Amino acid sequence: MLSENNRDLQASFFFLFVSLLSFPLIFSFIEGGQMAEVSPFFWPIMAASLMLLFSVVSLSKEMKQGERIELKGLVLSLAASKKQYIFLVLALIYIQSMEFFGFLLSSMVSLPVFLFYFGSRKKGLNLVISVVFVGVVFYCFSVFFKISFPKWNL
Amino acid sequence: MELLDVFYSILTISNILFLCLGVIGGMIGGALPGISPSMTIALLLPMSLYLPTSNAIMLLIGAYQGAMYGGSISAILINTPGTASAAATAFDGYEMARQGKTGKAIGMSLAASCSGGFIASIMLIILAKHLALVSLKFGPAEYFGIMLFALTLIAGVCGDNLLKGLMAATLGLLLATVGMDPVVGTERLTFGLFNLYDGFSMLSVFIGVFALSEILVQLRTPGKDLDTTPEILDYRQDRLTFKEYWSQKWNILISGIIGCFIGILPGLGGSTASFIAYAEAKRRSKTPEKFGTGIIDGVAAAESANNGVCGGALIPMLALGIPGDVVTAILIGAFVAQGIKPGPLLFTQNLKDVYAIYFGLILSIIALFIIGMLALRFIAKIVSIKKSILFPCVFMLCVVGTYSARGNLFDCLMMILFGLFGYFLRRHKFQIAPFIIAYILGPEVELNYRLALRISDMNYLTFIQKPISLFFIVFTVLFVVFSVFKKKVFKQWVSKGTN
Repeated sequence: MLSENNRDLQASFFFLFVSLLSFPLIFSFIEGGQMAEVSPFFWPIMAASLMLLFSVVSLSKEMKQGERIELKGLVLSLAASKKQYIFLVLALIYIQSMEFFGFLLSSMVSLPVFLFYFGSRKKGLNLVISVVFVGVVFYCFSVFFKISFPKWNL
Repeated sequence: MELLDVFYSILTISNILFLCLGVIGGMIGGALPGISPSMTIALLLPMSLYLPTSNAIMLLIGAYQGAMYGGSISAILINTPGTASAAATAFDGYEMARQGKTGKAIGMSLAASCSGGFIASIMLIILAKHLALVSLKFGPAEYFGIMLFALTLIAGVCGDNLLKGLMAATLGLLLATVGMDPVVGTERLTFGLFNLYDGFSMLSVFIGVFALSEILVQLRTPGKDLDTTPEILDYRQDRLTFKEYWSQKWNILISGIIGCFIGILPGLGGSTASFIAYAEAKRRSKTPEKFGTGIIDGVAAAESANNGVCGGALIPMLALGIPGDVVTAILIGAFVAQGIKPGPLLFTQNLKDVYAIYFGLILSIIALFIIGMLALRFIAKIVSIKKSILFPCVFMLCVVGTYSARGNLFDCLMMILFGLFGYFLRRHKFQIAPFIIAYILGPEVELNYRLALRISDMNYLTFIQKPISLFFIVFTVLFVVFSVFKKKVFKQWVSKGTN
């Protein structure tokens, strides 16, 4: 597992990478440039520059303390979050499926899967919760709040 | 005598009924992620058009107060702020719920909301006309000053590692620039995606960073432990005591005044008020390091301020006809439909209606308190549900809530992304608060900075030439210097003590 200080080093590298990536993106994806102080560029460049500054300061501080990137620790740390990544993939599948199968069907099929994934092993209870909870949410939001949910699209 | 006549005419069964209906509707709307106070009011607006004037006033004002409080319920129970203004409540409120003090957290949230709302109502009644004139003196330079001060409060919520907080805050500032430029209307960092023209949905950010990251963190717990019924304190032990409430009296008073003052300034809103009040409470506290660990001070400050905004936002609305936020903009429409025209002449031509609004505000606070107390026991029971059942349902609610804001599945995908980002921050021991504060306040600071420069024809001295702006900038500098000095002195004192 990563030590506390190595986590800080990893995070600093992340912010450094994001800040360096921001500059070409800012110049490619922002329109308008007259009057530098009040142009659309000013604030994003200022934010990215400050992020670069703080991440460089943080990195140099960590490296002065003798910290170095532990690749093995990083891989182990990523592996330790396997459960989270699987959940996020399931979540993405659920959200994408709503576009084709509609909210009701996607939710009633996905919720028992999530319940099982979180440790609820009573299949009967999971099915009842899925139908009732999804039904109530759908009814409340569509009738009282007039929300139009995704519909079957195949 | 006229005042008494209006009071007696307000106290009818139908008015009380519609008031309670408004409060309940507002609480439910505010508690549900995706249903904002403005949406709640907008949904009740058609009903109000068919009601007599007094019933309509009671319904809408009750809903306004209820919705501002309702956001704290989901913030405390499931770390999902129902409204943007409840984000600051989540910092301490959810931690209290995790420590088994759900009843205390919700109790303090209710008490502080009612107290803050009451303070703002009194300020509205006594000072409406005078305070409305103050709001007219605020232009872009003044707004920039106050928002800059609010931004520097980020330093106060960074915890022990200021650098980490600042890195997260700058990323928040950068991500907030995605969308259409607020001054010239060109695209910024939209990558050609139509869904990003309005930037990231605020709910995607909040729900992702708060709720979804929490769900991801909870997944580190083995499934067997998630499937056990959590032990919770007996309701009698978990209740907020009067002593605890009274210990927060100055905190609530100051936060309520901050909320009212922020509410007077059009465009700032409950989230700005609650963050400023939270950071100010932390600054005044004798134990600032405890903020964010689950103390009632944080909940009291945030909630008092965000309900204080209700009364404050009505001041420019009634006195000048200027809406303070989206909710008051809708209320103006509702009042006009009822024959009440907000503006300077309201106090001379429709004084009875003004009194009705005043009484409606105070009665709505009483109704909110009673209904909130009755519902408290049932609300607190939600945490006794097994986590293996609660979290998947919460996740589904998060998806529905995020989708409801703009009717767009893209926002749900962004919520997943921000959830992953929030998880990354938490795994690396970052504070979420600096990122959220910068994301919310950054656009306001930028907009007012640029507008002030454009109006003054690129004269940078405009920020010091205007007294209110100068005051806030000087106050900001002094605050930063004092904070750094205080930390250095404290560190020296600690190292002396250790030696």
